[in-house]
Amino acid sequence: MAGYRCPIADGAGTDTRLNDTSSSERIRSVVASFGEWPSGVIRFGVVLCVGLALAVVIAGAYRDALEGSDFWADRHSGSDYATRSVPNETAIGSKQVAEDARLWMPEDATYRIVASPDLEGPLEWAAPDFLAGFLLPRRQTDSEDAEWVFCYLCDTAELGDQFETLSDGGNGVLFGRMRP
Amino acid sequence: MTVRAIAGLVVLNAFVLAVGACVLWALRGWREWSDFLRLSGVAYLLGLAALFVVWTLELVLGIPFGAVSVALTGLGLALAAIAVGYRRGRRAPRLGSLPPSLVRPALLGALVVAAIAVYLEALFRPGRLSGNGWDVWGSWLPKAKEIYFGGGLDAELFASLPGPSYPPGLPALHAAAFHAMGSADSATLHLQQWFLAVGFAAAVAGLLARRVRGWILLPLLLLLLLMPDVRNRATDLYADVPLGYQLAVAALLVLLWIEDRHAWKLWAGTLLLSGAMLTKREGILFAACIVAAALVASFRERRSLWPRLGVAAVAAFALALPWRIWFMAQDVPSDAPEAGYLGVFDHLDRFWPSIELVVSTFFDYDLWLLVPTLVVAASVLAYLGGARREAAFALTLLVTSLVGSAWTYWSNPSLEISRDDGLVNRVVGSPLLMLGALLPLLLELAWSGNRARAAVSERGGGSIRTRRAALAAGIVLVAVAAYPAITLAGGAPRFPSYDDCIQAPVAGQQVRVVFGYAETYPDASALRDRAFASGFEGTEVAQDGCGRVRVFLDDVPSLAIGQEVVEEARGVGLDPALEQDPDD
Repeated sequence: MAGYRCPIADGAGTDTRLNDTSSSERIRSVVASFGEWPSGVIRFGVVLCVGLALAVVIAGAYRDALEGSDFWADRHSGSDYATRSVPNETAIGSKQVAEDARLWMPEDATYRIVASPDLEGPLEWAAPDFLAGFLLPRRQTDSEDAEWVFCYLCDTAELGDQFETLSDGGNGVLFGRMRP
Repeated sequence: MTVRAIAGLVVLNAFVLAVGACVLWALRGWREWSDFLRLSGVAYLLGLAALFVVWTLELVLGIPFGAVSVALTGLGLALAAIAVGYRRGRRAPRLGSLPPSLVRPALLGALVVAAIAVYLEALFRPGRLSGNGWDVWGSWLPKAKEIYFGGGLDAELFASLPGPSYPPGLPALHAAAFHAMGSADSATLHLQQWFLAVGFAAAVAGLLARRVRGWILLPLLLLLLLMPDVRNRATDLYADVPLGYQLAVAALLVLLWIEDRHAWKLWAGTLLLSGAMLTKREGILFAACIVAAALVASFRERRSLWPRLGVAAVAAFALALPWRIWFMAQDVPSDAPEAGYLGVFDHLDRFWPSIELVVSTFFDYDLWLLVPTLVVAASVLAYLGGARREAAFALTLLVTSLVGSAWTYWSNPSLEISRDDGLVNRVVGSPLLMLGALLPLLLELAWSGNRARAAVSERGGGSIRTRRAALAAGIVLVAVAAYPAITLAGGAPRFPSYDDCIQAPVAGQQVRVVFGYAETYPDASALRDRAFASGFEGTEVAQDGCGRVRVFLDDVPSLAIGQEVVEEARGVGLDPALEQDPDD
């Protein structure tokens, strides 16, 4: 089964005699060998596999890849700062508030997140991680001593009179600081 | 998002390649530079894996991570590798001749090489200004930023994030990229993944160039790169595709080692398996699948090969062990399955649905084109052609990696058994890349009747051959030059800047007087207070939409009035400018 010799040369074959024959003769020789059992059938299977791969590439996969790249390149190029650089609102509640927070807090700041017990969904489980990723090197903390505060549907009265709202997303998402 | 950031990434990746070249030289050596050219993709991935191992060790030991430590680590690795190389008798390479595949090119091959090169160029464009995916914001980016800004691992932060015990290899690479770019520019960072894609393509092509004839290798490599789910995720910042790249080249190296027993392939594969284990937790699972496949494929030679395989497997795990010790010592939640290793039997109802989910995803044409089907066909053809070891390797890897992928669902009851969130694609992508990389070799073995294709002899070139070589080179060069030329003809590439948020005033429309821009609200407030004090009541501060704060007086009815305000402001030492008021 394993004793046949590859009769095709792709320009890098090892059989000098075959390299001296013309391409068409070589191809004819290969095609003729497809009738041999089992080696020819296996070789035919290989040609079929490569042919199918090429067919898939030529029939659309390659064009789809280039068109897809063009589409996404245009889309990414056309997107604005907030789309590209600020996490989406599903996760953080308000891009406006998050960006305000970044612009308010110095890089060595610490902030905490105060959330309503009723908060659920992505704002409850994703916002802390997304804000951490966006706002680093500013540090998230649980400490009530933190100067900066995000409020997610929280009762601002509980934060006391010291809380000064600096940004309000209009949807219960606030950012502010505790005045000394 | 600047040319400087892109240039920084080029330097970083040249650095990774240089480190990997030294590691490869120590492991294998090369007589001629053309050998290195052929194996440069392997060298790149080896550099990456070696840096993952040492960076992780340094982070675990608390050595501050920064531009200097990154440079010194690479230098140390390179010098150590060169010392090992000399000790093992490696010689400095000579110029030598061009690789036979370049001397004796096929025109079909040139066309496909050109297509691959253009595809990689096309992949560059969307990566350059991309936004971040869900888990990138939630997990990968915080870790990378923590290493970049904090210079190390913060156990508390890691523990609070999804995938807390996921290894720090990729975040460390991203932190190094931030240093190279000069800022934590997560948009341009996507291009780092592009370099990995290029390295992967070059590695597979280089490893198989002498073993597989071009008309088999190149179309299948192109098909592998074009798998829709891989190309969609090729430049995202998740770890799945980089994991797949390392595993795929490791699997190929291990199989080639089983064939020819060249020790460097086993040790290079070992290093890549360590790199994979330090990229994502699934790295351990799929590394185990590769080892299992190697054990099955080498069963007949088990006396001589299994001990070496065992040593390699232990070494790969040992190199990744410091991270596991660290996260356990720091009480960071483990990466073990939710149900526990034995608890899966309490969830037997999930077993079959998990298998169904993974298998149906694996054979989904829309995600992977024909690659999985061709892998099965090629394995059968290789087996019939007498390449039983290789077929056994591929089929064992197929079965174990599918069962392993299903196990991730079966053993984590919180994961919904569904394709809706795309998670299963990410899990199955690694097996697809591993098996896809084996595909050309399997077909070559089927074609040649299990005879490893001898290295091509370099016979003297006649004029016809010279013309063919020139034509083939011309095809590739023209394609490589044409794509960017055509793209640039449609407009120069955009580099976002602060100027994007500044609009020149237009006669007949409202304008605003802008007293300046600041990087922070406190700075902007100080400028606003100066404007107030000078009598410009109504001066406001607000985000400019490009990452700064604008200090401005809005709703100035006309350009002429605006100019009067500007003159007045200049008289009191302010330096305002007029801009269009887009609210008009």
